[in-house]
Amino acid sequence: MKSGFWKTDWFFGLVVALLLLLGSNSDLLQSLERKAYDMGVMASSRTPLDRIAVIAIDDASIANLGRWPWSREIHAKMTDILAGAKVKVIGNTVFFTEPQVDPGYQYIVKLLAAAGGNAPVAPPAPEPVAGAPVQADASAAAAAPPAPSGELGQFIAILREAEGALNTDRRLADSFERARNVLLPMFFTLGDPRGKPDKPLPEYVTRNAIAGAQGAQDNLPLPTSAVQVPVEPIGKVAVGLGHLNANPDVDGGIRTEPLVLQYFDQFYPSLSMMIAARSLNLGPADIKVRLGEGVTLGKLRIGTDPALQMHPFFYKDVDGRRAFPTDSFFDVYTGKIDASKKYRDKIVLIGATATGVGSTAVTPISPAMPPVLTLAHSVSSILQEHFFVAPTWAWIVEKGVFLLVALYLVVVLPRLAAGPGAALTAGILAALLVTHFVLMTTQALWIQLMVPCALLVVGHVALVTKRFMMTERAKVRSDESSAESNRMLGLAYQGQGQLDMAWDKFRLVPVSEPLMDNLYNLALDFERKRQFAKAEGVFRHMAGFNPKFRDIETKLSRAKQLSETVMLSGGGGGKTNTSILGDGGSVEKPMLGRYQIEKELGKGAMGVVYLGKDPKIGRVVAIKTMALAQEFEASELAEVKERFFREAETAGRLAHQNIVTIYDAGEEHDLAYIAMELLKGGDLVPFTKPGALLPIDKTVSIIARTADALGYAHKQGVIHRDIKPANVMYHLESDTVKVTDFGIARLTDSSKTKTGMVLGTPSYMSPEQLSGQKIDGRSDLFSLAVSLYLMLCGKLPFEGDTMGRLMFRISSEPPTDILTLNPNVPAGIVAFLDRAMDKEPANRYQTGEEFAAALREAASGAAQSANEPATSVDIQL
Amino acid sequence: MDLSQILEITSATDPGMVRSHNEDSIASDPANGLVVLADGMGGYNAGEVASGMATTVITTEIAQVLSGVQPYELDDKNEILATRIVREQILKANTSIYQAAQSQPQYSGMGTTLIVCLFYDNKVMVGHLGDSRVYRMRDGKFSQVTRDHSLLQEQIDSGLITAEQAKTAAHKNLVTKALGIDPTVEPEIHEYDSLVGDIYLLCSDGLCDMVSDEDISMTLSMLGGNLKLATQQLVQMANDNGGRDNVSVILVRVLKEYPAARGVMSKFFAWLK
Repeated sequence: MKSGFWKTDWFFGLVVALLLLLGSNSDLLQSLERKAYDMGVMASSRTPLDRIAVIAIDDASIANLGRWPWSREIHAKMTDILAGAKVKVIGNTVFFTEPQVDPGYQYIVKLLAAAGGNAPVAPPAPEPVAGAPVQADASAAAAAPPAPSGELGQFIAILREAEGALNTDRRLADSFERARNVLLPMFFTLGDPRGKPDKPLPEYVTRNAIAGAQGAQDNLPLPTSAVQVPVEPIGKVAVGLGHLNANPDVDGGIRTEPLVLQYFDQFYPSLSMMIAARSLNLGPADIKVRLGEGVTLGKLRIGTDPALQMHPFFYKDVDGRRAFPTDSFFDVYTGKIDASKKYRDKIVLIGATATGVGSTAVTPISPAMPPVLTLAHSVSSILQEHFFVAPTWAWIVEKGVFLLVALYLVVVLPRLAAGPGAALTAGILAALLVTHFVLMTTQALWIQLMVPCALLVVGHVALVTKRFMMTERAKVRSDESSAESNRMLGLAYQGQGQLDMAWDKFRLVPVSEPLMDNLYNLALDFERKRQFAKAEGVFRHMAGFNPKFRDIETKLSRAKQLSETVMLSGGGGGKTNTSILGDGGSVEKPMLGRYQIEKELGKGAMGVVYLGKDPKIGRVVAIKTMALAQEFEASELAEVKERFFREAETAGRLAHQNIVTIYDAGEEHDLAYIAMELLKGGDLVPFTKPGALLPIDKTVSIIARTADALGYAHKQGVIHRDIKPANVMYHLESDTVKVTDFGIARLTDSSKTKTGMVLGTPSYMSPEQLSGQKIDGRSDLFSLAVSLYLMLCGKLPFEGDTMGRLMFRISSEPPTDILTLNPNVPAGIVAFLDRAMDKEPANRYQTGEEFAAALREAASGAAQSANEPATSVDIQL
Repeated sequence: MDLSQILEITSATDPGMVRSHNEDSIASDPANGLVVLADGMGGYNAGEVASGMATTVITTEIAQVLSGVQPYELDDKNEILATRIVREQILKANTSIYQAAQSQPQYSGMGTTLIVCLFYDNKVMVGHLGDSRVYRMRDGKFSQVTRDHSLLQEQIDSGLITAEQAKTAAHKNLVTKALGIDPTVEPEIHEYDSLVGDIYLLCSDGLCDMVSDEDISMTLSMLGGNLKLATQQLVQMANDNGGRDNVSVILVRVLKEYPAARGVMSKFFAWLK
């Protein structure tokens, strides 16, 4: 009974949880978190700051303005244009870390010196190492002594002009100085510094450093080991410098913006920070660092991760419009776009977007975003405080959720069935995902819930797989025993008469010799119940194992034939009186309830009448069947059945020598049946034909006995409702009369579906029955009088060409004078008939006994008075 | 509640040394605390059909019933539901077997003895028919729980013969009640308290005819710590003594208390267990 704990579900769940915990910092799970973060960013929507505009150095600009890098004169000119347009801040993301020296410039300078033009010192070659490249002050040229006159003077002037035109750095610096609102990028090399810097940074860089930082010293910003700064003449005139470093995740995606970098003992803000500060007329002094928590800029509090990295918001393009207005550099440069109108008081960011210029980066919303756009998103995030925050308590929440999920896997899930377990897991997963996205989109909180999600999914799948494999193994083990128990259950169901369920069970058992016997018996049972299609199915199943088993070949072919002919007609719409006996008699004797069907006796209105035998007591019976399911709509079937059995029960109570005894009633599948006394002889119909009439005294005797029987039945509260010669059985030799079919008429009486059948023979109906009133025994007696009339003269008292005419005659006109049809009817009987067929029930004979007595008396009176002529007629005939 | 960690159940069945067929059938449903043992009788293979039907029908049907109700609940007549469940399912099995024997000639006359033990709420409901037995080992005392429905037992009860004479009686195997012989049957059903440490032994007459009660008792007290071994040992002893009949043994040990979880909290804890 005991099994090792390592096989239990809870232990399995624990192992999965531990594995996931160990792997939670792995690349795989972290990239899941990052993906979820990206999707969260995509799902959020915020309005970008409309004060930001981007001027893109795009492919068109390069095509028109020449190969990159451009002469700095172009930048200078652009700065002049923007300065003229009174923009708030210009952020130029182009790195000016080396002096731009035209190859001819040095010679110009030398020539100028040689000509005594007091040329400026040529700039030395740029230093590749970090640190500010020292450069000669080119602007010294501006302060040159007055030019000598004459040809030399002219020459020197040209040289000066050339010098001035070629010294683009000075042009740019002049332009920046005039603008007084240009911010430039620096580029740090990330990594732990090994020692001390080569040389201190120049003043124009250090003035951008952030003054002091508060907070715990163990949470420091990202360290850097080297820096590239703009060349001195340009850097000096920039209003601020900020780093343009990105710190991509391992997948190369940029999701964080390091707001502050540490360069040895100094903290330098990012360019986005500086631009934001500048746009609020603040400077580096207004940037306060709270280590491990965030950065404050004036009134703005920017939450960051412990390394002072902000999760910037990335604004989606709305309706195909870019988040930030972006124009081509060339368009602005050539004046195609009116800078003063468009950029007034804006924060203008200039940067390259052209292919092959600068490096693009992966961001949550774009697979290739140029740095200038990333900068735009960051600036907007800072100024509007649109950034995602991973709060310090997030760690606790994440681990707590992980623990809860682990508990769920260890404690709850093993106790749930597969269905509820899957539902609950799906529910929890949905809850976690929704929480994640709702927090991101509405609260801008980033709680990393993907590891718990992964644990949930992996754990659930692992547990389900384990269970499946365990049950699979158990299944193989138990297959044999379950086959045996299925066979036993099959036998049990067959014993209880539930053949279909027995068949279901047997079908699950692999076929073997002993099972063949059981199946054979089942098939025979199906045959006995007339379910030939199912019998055929069983035989076919058996034939698959051994087609030569006993006589199943012939059984199969016969069952097939029968299932096609008999059962298909049971579906409704077929003939109602199809025989249940197959031809050839080779079928197992069919059973109807407890009766064996021996042969068919005849076909009635609603079904076949069979000769049946009760094998237990050897009684031979007539079985009248009615295919109720075919006669009635499914909706009223239940009601009809109930009425059928109620009527059968009522009729079964009648015990009279002139009433057919009912033994039993029941139903089997679609057939309702009544088992009754088997009678010799037949009904009275043959004696109603002119020329085959019985003698009058015989007729009177039969009808009088019928009236006795009706009188008895009426006293029992049973009304026949369908008295006619066809329902009175008569055996000439033994002179026995029996009324049959009590109650069955009632069934068809109120049938709505088969009205035609009810109205088929209204010839015997009483006026009140015809008009649908409530009827009593006197209605039966009226019908009996009609039968008497018919048997006396061979014609019906009321006849009509149409149904309407017939009904009118029954209800309103007197019967045809019987003497015109048979003049030999005695006068007493004529008078009797008149009263018995009165339209008003109250005027008729009130009971069966009264009817019988009056009839006998009328006949005996007539016999005495008309004895002679009657015999003479006979002799004449 | 799931009793599979509370009841330790081991079982074995063996055709014995003489007979080629095993007409005994055993079944257990540890989760529902149900064990069933039947010893079939009847002609060619029919005995094993009868006993197989009995154990299968009863375990299947009771498991189905118990999925909807708790056995300790009371029905509208204030009768404990377990009694009714056991009785009704025995009757159902009886009808099934009887009808199968009636309708299929090769099974005619088959029948089976029956033991049904249903554990619930620190109690055990024992239903039985025929001469298969339930014994109980409690605190070292070994006692017979059921009274055989056999001619021999009736003779002993009415004082015609003594227990000593009974051991040598000729007509040992005439049962007065069995499942599947008649259209109706009246099973004997009693409820007993069960205690932690009790060992219940269900066996067919193949064991108790071959091995004396003393030997069974001794075996259980010696090997009671290892039910699996005890089961095998009992079967082995029957076979060593001749093994004239099929021998089946089920041992059930109560490891812990198992009161019915009636309150919400106790149901929750029972679920957690």
